Amino acid sequence: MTFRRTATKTDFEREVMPHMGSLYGVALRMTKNEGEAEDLVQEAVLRAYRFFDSFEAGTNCKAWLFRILTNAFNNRYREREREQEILGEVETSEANIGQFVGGAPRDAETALLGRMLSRDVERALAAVPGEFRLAVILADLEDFSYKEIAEIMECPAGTVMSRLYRGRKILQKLLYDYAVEQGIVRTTATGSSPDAPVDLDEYRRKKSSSEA
Amino acid sequence: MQCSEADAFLHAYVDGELAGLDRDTVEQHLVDCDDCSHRCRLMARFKAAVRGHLRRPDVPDGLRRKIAASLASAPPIQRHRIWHEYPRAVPAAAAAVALFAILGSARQGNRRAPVLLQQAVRTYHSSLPMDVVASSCDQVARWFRGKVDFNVASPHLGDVAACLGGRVINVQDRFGAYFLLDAPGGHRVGMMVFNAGDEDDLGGPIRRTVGGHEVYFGTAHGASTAAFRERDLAYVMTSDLGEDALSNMIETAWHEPQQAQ
Repeated sequence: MTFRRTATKTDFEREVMPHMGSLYGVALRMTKNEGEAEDLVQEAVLRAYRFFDSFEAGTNCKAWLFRILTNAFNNRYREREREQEILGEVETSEANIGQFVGGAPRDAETALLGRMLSRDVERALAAVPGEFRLAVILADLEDFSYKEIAEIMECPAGTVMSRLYRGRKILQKLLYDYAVEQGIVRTTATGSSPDAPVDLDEYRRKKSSSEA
Repeated sequence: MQCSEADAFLHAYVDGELAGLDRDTVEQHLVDCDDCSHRCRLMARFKAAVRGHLRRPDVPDGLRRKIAASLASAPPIQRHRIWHEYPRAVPAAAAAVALFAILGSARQGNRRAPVLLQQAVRTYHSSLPMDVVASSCDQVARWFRGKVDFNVASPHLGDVAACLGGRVINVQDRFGAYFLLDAPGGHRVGMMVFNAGDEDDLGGPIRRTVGGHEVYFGTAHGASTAAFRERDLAYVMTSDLGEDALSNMIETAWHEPQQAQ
């Protein structure tokens, strides 16, 4: 590929088509509906095609595509997501999340990890509110770095971190609840301490001032 | 480090987002603290379990057909008007693509970038804050004194880039200095400086002489890199800019070998 010529359909297909599986997988988990996921991916791919010339080859194509997909998703579902966030707020408020990791007795946590069912994980993920869900999907299923997720979701890296950590906590809590319901885990976690805020800067400041 | 402090770092640690002193501090705490070490293992297992349970669904054939049909009937790709609005973006983007074209063949051969370059790119992509924030490279270079075991010279960047800050990093088994620079158009450039021996592999697929230095250019994980040696030090630059912009920057900052300060 030389740059003086305009990119062709073949260039586009070579760059973009390998990411179809990822795009569809994320679209499906975000829309929770096969037809809507197909529409969303189709829209994102065609939009990417239209703006393919603004994509700088050699840069991260997958992240670029997911940014387009996320924009398309937000445009379509912003209203719906907002409703969901408000509804979701009650069950995911700080006091109710508790701590799976470190909060429950060790044997209960280990039992849960060993006996989780795929359909429960899928169900729990679907119940995590939109932005938290997207952060978890991008980091844990698609291997994006915090920086890439920040670009895709168009937010600061600190926000990515808090969405991701919170998303994981909610997911863990839901799975823990399912396991208790199903009698896999008998003990209920107690003493749900509020999460420590994600503030690495604060730690560094304290550390450097104590050293000074 | 206290457990409550470690807590904020553990996710980032499990996600491979920590480098340098942060990572060392967390690892030391994990050695000392059974509880955090247990939590950390659980986090990693949970992450792996979620991933293992959530299989990527197959793309429906119908969707592939619909997209293929839409593309078949779509007009050819247009040159986007961004070129006219931002003429300065053209050379950089052109360089990025040309670089990609050359590296495309190397990548097909699955050639992995040398470990040092991979580390530079990882550091570049991690958005962790700088240890020191300053708009003057001189100031950042002075800040490194006593923190790394070599004399960090300040790059004379003129107006090709401005300093954002610095950070002490681990380069394999030694300390290194890391500058973060801001190039026009919102582009970021990372510059890693460290003591280099003959055994350190800086090689990239392209070698050119720039500003009196043999510079190796390459790409890894979506960033371009330029690496060269000066006396006992190695410099590795990482950026979302292409080869030409990095080359221009090196030419400006090292147009003649710098005098040791």
